[in-house]
Amino acid sequence: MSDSTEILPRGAPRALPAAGLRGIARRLRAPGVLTVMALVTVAVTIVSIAVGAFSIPPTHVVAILADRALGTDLGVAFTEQEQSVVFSVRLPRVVLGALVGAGLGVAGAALQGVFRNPLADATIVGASSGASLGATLTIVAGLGFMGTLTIPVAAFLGALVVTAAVYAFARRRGRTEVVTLVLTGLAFTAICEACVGLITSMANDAELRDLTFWRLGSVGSATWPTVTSIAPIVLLAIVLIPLLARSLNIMALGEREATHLGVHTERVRVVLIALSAMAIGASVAGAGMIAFVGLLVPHLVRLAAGPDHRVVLPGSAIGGAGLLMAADLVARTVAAPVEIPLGVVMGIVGGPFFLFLLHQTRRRQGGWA
Amino acid sequence: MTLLGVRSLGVRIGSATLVADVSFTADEGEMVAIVGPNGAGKSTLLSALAGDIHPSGGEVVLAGTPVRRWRPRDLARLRSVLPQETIISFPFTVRDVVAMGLASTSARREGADTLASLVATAMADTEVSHLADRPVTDVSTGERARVTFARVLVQRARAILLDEPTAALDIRHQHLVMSLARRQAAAGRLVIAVVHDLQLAAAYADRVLLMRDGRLEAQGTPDEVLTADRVAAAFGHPVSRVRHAGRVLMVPDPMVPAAP
Repeated sequence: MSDSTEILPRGAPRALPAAGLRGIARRLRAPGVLTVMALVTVAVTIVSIAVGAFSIPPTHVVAILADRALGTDLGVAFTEQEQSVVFSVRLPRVVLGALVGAGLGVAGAALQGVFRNPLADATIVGASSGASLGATLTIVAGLGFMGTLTIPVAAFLGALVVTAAVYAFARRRGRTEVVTLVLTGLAFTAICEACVGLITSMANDAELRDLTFWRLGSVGSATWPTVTSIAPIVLLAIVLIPLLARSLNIMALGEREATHLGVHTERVRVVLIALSAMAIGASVAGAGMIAFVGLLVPHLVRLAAGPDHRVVLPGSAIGGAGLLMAADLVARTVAAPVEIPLGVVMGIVGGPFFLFLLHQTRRRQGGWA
Repeated sequence: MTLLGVRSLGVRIGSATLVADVSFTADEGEMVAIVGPNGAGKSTLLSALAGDIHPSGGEVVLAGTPVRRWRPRDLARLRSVLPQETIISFPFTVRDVVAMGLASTSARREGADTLASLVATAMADTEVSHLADRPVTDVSTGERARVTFARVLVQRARAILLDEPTAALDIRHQHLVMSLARRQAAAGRLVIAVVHDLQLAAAYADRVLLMRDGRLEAQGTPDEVLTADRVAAAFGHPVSRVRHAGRVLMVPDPMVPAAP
């Protein structure tokens, strides 16, 4: 029979992969996506600074920023009033939004990698509510052991404890099942919320105003001190998390498999959970509870650029910043002069998206079994 | 110095003894098949060789050092592992997954072209080149097993541990994978494979380890180990041994329902 003679041809090596036009297109896809996202985010930043009760032409915004940051005169005239609105009103808010969004985005992507679960996110995992409990405790107890860093650090600790606990509870054979993760996160969120509720019921009026802020989520009360208190923590996480991208890629094969390939999985996991808790804690300290950023953004980046964490992690930071600034822009303009809480806007956008993801994941797995 | 030394290895989980008092050595250039009935401890033994689990007694020595004492990165250069089945959580392409085999290898210092050609060769050898750009989450179980095998080949470790490399494969690919493993042994690596099919073990292995109830029942050349009596006793099922075209075949007798 001719079958027995045909052992070799099918496996014969072809031309090298990644060659030719398709190879080039493949290699340019990721940098292309990142570039487009960065450009859109810059545009959103400028529009966010420009739009408001006192509107400033975008060209003036660019000129004001170039003048202050680079000392260059772009030849566009702007008024002193415009300059002061940019620096004391708009910029702190926009920068805070960008930091919080970037932090939540990158933390979401990192947690999804560590949990090996596309539905992991600060809110789902319960890290946000842990952070809010930490922050609430320090406010009511009147603690200030580390100056302006007190609340971010307390929020970080809260997020860390909850994330580590949920991870320990929901893990089975090196990965977390969707249902177990969601339910465990729900239970921890309920516990933290109950504690926050208990503390809130004992708080005085001034503290109460601070506390309601955590629940709704907003960057409206942004000031430069808030920005500088969380910026170092968020930036540290954003810079360090992508350094572990290659290990996270390999961990997608499975924990044991990653160990076989030389990845120190235990160390990678501990470091990433700690860094994610830093980003989430600082974000919650700066803007309260904002859901779904860490879910939506990494998913969209993966759709556009593929699952490589070397792209997904920085992409989620950039995209998270852009998304949060855009959502805040909507929150403060759509019903102006009334401002809708940012958490509400994100809930309206993110809730249905979460349902969609849940549906899709279930269909792929053929049920929850 | 022998590459792999196993001395009175025991693995207990809770009160269950999965592997008891297993000793053997194996060296580069050899292909060793581990055979035995379900639950005999084959995969557990392989996990202990890989350094995945702590033995409760005895030790596994790889290149002169107990396997659990190696750092993950150095261990990855010493041994590669093909697991039975893996769940891959993100849709990486087949090419990406194969390239992950290079993660800890010294080849990483070479240029991108060299790496790409290593990956391409491994994909061609395992006949998955046509799937290179497909998400690994979309290919069939048998194809994924070959992709994982390609990933193991790319790692170019001194010892290659395969846990049922042929389980999900059709006959052509069973023989393809076994002959590739054989070629790795011929190239001076140690290959240890858990194999279900006694024919494959007899045809490709230099040495066979027969396990039963966690113990090493026999070891030696396929001819020595795979006798009809011994196999029948180990598997609890009658087997006839036949010679055909110079090869030893183990033919299980059909299980006929007893007459009333």
